[in-house]
Amino acid sequence: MLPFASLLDGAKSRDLEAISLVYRQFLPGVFAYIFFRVPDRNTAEDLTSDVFVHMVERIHKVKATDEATFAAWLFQIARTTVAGYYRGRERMPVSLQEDADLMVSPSPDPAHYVEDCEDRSALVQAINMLTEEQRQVLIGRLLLEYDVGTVARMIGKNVNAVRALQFRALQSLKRILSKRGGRHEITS
Amino acid sequence: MKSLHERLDDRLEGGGDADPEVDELVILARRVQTTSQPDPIFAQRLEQKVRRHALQQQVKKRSWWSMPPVWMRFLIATVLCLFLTTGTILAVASLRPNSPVNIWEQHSPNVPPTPHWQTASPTPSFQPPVPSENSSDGKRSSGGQSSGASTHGARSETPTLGTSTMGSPPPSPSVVPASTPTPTPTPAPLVCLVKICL
Repeated sequence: MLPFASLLDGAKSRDLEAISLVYRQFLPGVFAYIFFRVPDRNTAEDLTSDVFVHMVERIHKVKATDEATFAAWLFQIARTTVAGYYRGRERMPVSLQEDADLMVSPSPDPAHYVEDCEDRSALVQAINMLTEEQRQVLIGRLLLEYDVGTVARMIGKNVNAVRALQFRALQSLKRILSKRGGRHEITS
Repeated sequence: MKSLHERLDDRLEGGGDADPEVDELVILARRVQTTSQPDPIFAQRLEQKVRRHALQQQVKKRSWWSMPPVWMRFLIATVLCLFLTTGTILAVASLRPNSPVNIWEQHSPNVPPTPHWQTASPTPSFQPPVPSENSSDGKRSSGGQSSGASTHGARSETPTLGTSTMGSPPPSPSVVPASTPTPTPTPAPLVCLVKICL
């Protein structure tokens, strides 16, 4: 497998294959980060698209040379994109998008789809109650599947702090979801 | 004995033994992982879009003039400012009789006759050595005519400075002091630029 530095160099010189590889590597993490911050999947897809378009436009300027620094840069773009989305929403009239998301069911079983949406909605609300660092640790560890050391470099903390953040994040999620009761409770 | 943080970390990485204290959190972590997977069709379409966009950027990068409009405007403004400033400075400098531009021009063997407006300079060193007939009558300095027209008229009768320099005579000792270093040859483009500016 190509070392990340070479991959990044290729992407910086706008080599299409290198850009595709970078995209595939970071899509799950970026999508999940946005997915847990916005009300519906369609918005998450739109914003994810914006992030990667932005990445292509600016990648030649990025100073990062290792994966962790590049991930931090990319998540900075994702964070700014989400913030921009909420700033735009403040100026818009009240949207019924969340309800519309439930109304248009892509699943053959509407009841199952509604349950899924509720499940997802509960998880999104719970994740939104975490701190930014806790969210980034979960994305780095669970979605990008980085080791603790890489996540530590990504968020600028030491390894033990990352372990503690990870533990506290999952514990908070468990507590929030348990409070909601019913099917959102964690069961093995 | 490992801390809870470390035990959770081990379990998340697939190691360690079953641990009821942290296993519930591991299940929750797996749920977070599965809930947020992007749709494969969306992922494929977005990849194509990203590649297309990268290709467009590549083409854009090749054309040097496709710099951002702000930079383009800045560049044009800078070039314009430089040109105008240089022109103005040279024009102003050439109006001053003691300016190096004038001295170069006067001493140049290849320069055509100096325009008569330059003879209006009050510096005596540039006045023709032989007084004209008018000046001998005392009419020139009498102020009986309007200054602009009279000056112009008087100039037409008096031998102009251009005429005196046309044959490129060596500067008379009265014009250029002996201690003055020999002037460098006229920079022709500079003179042309001054004339264009004026």
